[in-house]
Amino acid sequence: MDFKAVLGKKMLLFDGAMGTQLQAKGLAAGELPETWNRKAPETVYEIHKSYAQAGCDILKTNTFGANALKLGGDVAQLVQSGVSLARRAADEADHEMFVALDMGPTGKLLAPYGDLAFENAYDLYREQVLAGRDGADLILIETMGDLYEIKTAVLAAKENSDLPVAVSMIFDEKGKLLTGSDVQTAVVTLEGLGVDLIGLNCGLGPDGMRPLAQEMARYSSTPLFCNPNAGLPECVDGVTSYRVSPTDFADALRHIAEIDGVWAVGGCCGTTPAHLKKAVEICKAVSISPIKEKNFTAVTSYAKTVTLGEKPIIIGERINPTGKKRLKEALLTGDTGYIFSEAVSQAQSGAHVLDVNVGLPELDEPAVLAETVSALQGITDLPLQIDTSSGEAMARTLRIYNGKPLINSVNGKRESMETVFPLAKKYGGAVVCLTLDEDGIPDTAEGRIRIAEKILQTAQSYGIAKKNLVFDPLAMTVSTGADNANVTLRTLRHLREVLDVQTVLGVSNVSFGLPKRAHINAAFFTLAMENGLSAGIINPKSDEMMNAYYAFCALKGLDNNFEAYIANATDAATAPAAISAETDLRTAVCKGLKEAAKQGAQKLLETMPPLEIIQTQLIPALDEVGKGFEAGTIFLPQLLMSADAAKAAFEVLKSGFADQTQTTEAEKHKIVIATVQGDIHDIGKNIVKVLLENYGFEVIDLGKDVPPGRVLEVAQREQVRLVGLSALMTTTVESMARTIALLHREYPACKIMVGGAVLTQDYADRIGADFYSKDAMGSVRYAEKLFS
Amino acid sequence: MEICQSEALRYLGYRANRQPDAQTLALLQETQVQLEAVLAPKSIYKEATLRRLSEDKTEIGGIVFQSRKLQTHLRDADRILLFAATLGAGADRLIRRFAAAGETAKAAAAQALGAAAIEGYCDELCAEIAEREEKNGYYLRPRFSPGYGDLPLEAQRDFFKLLDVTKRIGVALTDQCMMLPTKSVTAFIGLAETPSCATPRCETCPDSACAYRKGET
Repeated sequence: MDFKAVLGKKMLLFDGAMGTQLQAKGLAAGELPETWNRKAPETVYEIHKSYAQAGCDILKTNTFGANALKLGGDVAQLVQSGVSLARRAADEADHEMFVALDMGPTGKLLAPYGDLAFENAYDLYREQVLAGRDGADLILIETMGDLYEIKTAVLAAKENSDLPVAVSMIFDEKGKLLTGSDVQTAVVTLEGLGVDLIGLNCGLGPDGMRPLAQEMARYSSTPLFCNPNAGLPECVDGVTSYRVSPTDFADALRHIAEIDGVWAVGGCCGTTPAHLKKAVEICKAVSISPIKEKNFTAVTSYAKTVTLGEKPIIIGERINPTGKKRLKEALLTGDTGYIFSEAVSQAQSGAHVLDVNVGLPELDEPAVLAETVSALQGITDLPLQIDTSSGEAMARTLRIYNGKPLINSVNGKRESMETVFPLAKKYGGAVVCLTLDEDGIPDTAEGRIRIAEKILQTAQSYGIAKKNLVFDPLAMTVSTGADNANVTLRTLRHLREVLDVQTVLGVSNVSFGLPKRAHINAAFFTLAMENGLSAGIINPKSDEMMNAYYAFCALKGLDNNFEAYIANATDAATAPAAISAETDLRTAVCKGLKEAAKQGAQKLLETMPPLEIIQTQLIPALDEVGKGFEAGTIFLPQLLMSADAAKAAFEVLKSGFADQTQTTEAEKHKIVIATVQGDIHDIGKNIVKVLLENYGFEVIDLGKDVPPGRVLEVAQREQVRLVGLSALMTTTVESMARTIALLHREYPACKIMVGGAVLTQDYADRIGADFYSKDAMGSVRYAEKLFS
Repeated sequence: MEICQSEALRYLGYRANRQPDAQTLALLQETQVQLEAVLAPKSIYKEATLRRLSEDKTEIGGIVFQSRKLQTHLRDADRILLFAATLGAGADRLIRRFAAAGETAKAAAAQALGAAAIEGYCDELCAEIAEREEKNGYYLRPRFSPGYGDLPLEAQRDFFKLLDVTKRIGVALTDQCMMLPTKSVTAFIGLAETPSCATPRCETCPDSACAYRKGET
């Protein structure tokens, strides 16, 4: 019978441990259990058989670590033999049994944090799925600690087989995955991916797992399963052992089986056929309950969940180049630093979700959107709203997004729904639905509501639940129609109260063409929240908008003890006081006072052109600090505080440039910097980058773990005369030497400076560097000399 | 977990008896609060079998490690522990976020505080183990990690086979055998029936020019 036909009819029992059993039969330390599928197939088969005889329903194949990274080659053969050994035991059993193709973690961390590319992880799992799908009844992705890795495995399973997919994870005692996700985030993300069974395994023993299973059950609309260890592993005389007895294990497991929504249980490390025999006796009789649909609307990052509908949330609108010269420039020049700082400052201002839009005709939007979203997820734990009108950009970005995003947007046009809904169904996401269609934006609330109803129905035909739709009643400019705001608000109220859906609105459109737009925006925002707005797309750096937000939440009983309101009010009160102390720019930079430096630069701009400010104020200040550092009277943190202050002042001056018509910036000297291949330590390189930029050099930062060929390619393309390389470890200095050799051979016109903890002058000479920088200022001085 | 501020200052280039100014102290304080909020320390250790095969070959848990220094280090030991600890990925993410947002000073401070934190965490864990072992009449030798002396960093791969570091505490190796999260430690710890006479590590290190050497002015 089909596994799915049996699932939900009765409590199903997974088998117990394979590894522990193999160890008892002589598996050596460090030996891969999967190799026994070939070396001792009868032993593996006997273990399966003993679990079949214990009365289990599902056998896990002995293929947990059978990926090309761990095994080298032989994946197909070991996976196939693993599946057929379990199949044989299942088919010979005296009751109906199923075979789960077992896949564990790759053992590597995924990029951008780690060094395994998303698509490479996908390929590792794909190879296992292709080898094992015939003969298996389901795919079990287990013992996972990283949501992102789970996503590659689930995509590989679903794109290369029709088998049901079960995923179980390992949480710590604080209820977090190893990469920091909480239980709700994991559940929401996996449901978005359309996983058939969500569960827990390994980790804590059955007693420790129970509260986590209960928490999962609170959020999950998907059936659950739990395969705990026989207690926590303990080390006795150098041997790992598990102490929970079969009877105690089975008793504890029964408590888990009785949780609403749990449809299968079994064992993990340390459990034996004896444990599972008891478990079958005690748990098989537990009746299962139907799954209750949990009707909350949520989006996630890799780490946390943001829920819509409880109190209004803020979606930061700043990462969108429309009408923003500075961001446009940053996107065109690949200046991720500016985009990052927009993300961080919006988060600090109170945004819950960040909108990301990179739509510029000059850009390859699909590539840039995916890269930007991936990079942003490396520095922020806020969920993102993927904002694009390009289906291709959306598809590429949804594929690599870590979590369940907001998708901005679909509308009532047939073509739009045909593009967006299949993507939302496949990758998961809450979809922003604009109430417009082929005939444009209706003037009336009734017209917009009709479109909303059409979108709702169409979404359901794609299997997308109502809770995953967030409707936008569209804010029209009030200056072109006195009733425009009223129509939006009426639509909003109907959507929320009658259609019972979540809502979102780009608030600031309403005030186009009017003076002091912030006043109108803030008032409209408050009205919208009162009429049922779940999420406002606004500028969180606008005090008026945030004041309106905090006041609204305080007034509506949505702010416990007025904590958020008071925190916001206190912030606003103290910030100007600290800055108001009249500090001139030069002093501010010397002392490393960032806010004062910004204010100082702003003030000077009224009377002095930006270039003159740089020449007469910033550079002398930086020089003073730099000399102090070289003389040993100023230390690294002080040098860096000054550098950060100067950089903030430069940002202010840059917008001064952007405001003036085409101020031709003096041709900058370009320098390529990189942490060499194999090295993941980039703090030293980042310090050098900031200092060089402050001294007016244009720095092309290639990041960390950069292959020699890439350094050469960029250095040649950009015609740079100086490359800076950093390496922290002795082992990666070799890679530095290779990079230097390649550059000297292929591009001898270029000089190379090096730095890093293990380097010395002598070492640098031996690997052929042109200059050894003993500290961050050294690189600035060398660059000055070279370009003078 | 205690983070030793003077240790962090040493990493930031403050040699003995140099005092930071108030603003630097405030920077450290603020960064430390943010760092502590994201720490998720985890550790694991287990005992392994220990056999000396020759003067530069030691069999630990059935795998042979080649290193004269390791052998010397373990000379009085007749038992060995495999030890691993990490601060979790949060510390790395925070450092990255600071650097990305133009807060280089904070990034450097978090880096130094994180380095001090993982050392302090390991010391605390080892003190607990030492207390337990002393009741059995055993004394801990200092931690010895892959990459020390003539034990190559590649020994990490075998170390990771012996101890379930990735699954249990979430530390993974890169292709070049570096650990992620970066604020992580793996080490062999010898257990001997005589107390250790080991001196602090800086003083025994041959690199007298090291910028971070303790006790120099």
